[in-house]
Amino acid sequence: MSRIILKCENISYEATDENIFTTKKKIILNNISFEVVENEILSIAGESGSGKTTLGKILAGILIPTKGEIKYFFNQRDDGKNHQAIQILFQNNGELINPFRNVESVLSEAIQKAGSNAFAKTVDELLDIFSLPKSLITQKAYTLSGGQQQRVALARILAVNPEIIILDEPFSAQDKESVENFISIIKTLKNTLGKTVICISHDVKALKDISDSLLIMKDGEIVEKGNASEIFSNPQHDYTKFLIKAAELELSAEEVKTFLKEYEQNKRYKNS
Amino acid sequence: MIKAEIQKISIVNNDQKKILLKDIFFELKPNRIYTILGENGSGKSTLIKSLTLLTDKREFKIEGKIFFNDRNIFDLTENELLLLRKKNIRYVFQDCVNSFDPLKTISYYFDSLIEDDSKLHSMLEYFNLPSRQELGKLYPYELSGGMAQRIAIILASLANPQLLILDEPTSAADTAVINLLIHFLKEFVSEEKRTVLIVTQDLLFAKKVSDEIASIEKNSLTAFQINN
Repeated sequence: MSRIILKCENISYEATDENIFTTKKKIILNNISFEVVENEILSIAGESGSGKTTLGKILAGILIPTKGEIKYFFNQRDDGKNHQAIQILFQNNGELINPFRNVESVLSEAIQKAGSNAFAKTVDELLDIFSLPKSLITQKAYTLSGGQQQRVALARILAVNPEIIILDEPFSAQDKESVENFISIIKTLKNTLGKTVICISHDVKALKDISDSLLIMKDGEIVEKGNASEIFSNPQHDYTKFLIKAAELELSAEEVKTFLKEYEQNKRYKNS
Repeated sequence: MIKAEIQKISIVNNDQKKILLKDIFFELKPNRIYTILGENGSGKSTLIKSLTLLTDKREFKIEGKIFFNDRNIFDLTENELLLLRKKNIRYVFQDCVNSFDPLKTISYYFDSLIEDDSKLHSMLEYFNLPSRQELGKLYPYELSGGMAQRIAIILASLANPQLLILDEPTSAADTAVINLLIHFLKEFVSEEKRTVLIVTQDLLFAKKVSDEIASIEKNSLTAFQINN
């Protein structure tokens, strides 16, 4: 049975852009509603500036929405640390871990803090899950490659045994092989470890293989949502069609121009 | 137009030598787009920098010959090399924000490098960038990676080089812009005496844009194969 574990109801978020002369309000998210089902991979796709990351931060509880409500339906935790139930892996690969700490201290601290909820008892177990070599244990974070740092940071997240793991642009700045590796890690999170994953990315190509459900975002709004394979095979909204075609690099210069022009006009209209 | 016969590029480090690339032989002809594929750390960027001896002499040792219009680049004086990099072979590097001087606004580059205002105007419009006046006010740190890259591409191509070299042009760009870039590069090489050389790891992009593709495998470059 698929169980809903998170409900997003009419979320809006406004940011204020302040300087000494003016205060401008900018709508980042507008009336977002969707549900997350247990043990699925939900992907949020859209171009830069569409509000994907802001939505991720709101789901993780880092930002408070201006309007709307998020309802969580998690199992109550033994030690009451319910805020640990939703974790986010940020985008900047090289800056995820304190560069001067070694891998062991980073991971063992996470295990210790998770207490009785900890997903693994030892650092070795965590390294195994993400097929990281044991020799990493004594290494300082700055000596790791971007891909390794990303996996260590994910291991740290898994240590506190979250219900939902949010991945923000996990494929950016990686070569093809690392993208494929990380895709298999995401599948492990879902299939073997039974986690729910929310994957935020502009890379529609990479999302195609992994997503169960899909949200397409544009200018802070959801333009299309539903079953991922249905959307990929039969996109309804013009913007979704554009995104998929753009990812396949099949657009003519005119198509891009027409689209970008409309996009700019809408933006001006919205901000005025 | 350009012909490379490089026996070895080695990394010199505390008297120890490590061979990065060996036996690189290729020739680039006009009106074509060439792509070199290779993974992170395979030496792609070093290879294209070595074509105009931009690599650090203390760090890399290049053994071989590189001919540009039948002149060996190793025989050129420092001034001639500078002129070559200014007029004939232009680069768009991967980290474009840092290609600009952080203390100068973009208008500095527009004013000092560009004579043909109408061409600049149409290219800014093509790449969906703000006007010359608006962009000119900005400092490099105010640009996004993708914007900086588009500006660098415009500046490099308006210099009318015979060879335009792009390092990982798809890493910072939105997919819509990548579509534009493909059409732009094809248009660019259609004019007389122009060649594009790209290094990337984006296979789909390489397939869509290139006339010929080679890849770096086992420290060497395969022959360029016609892409159809």
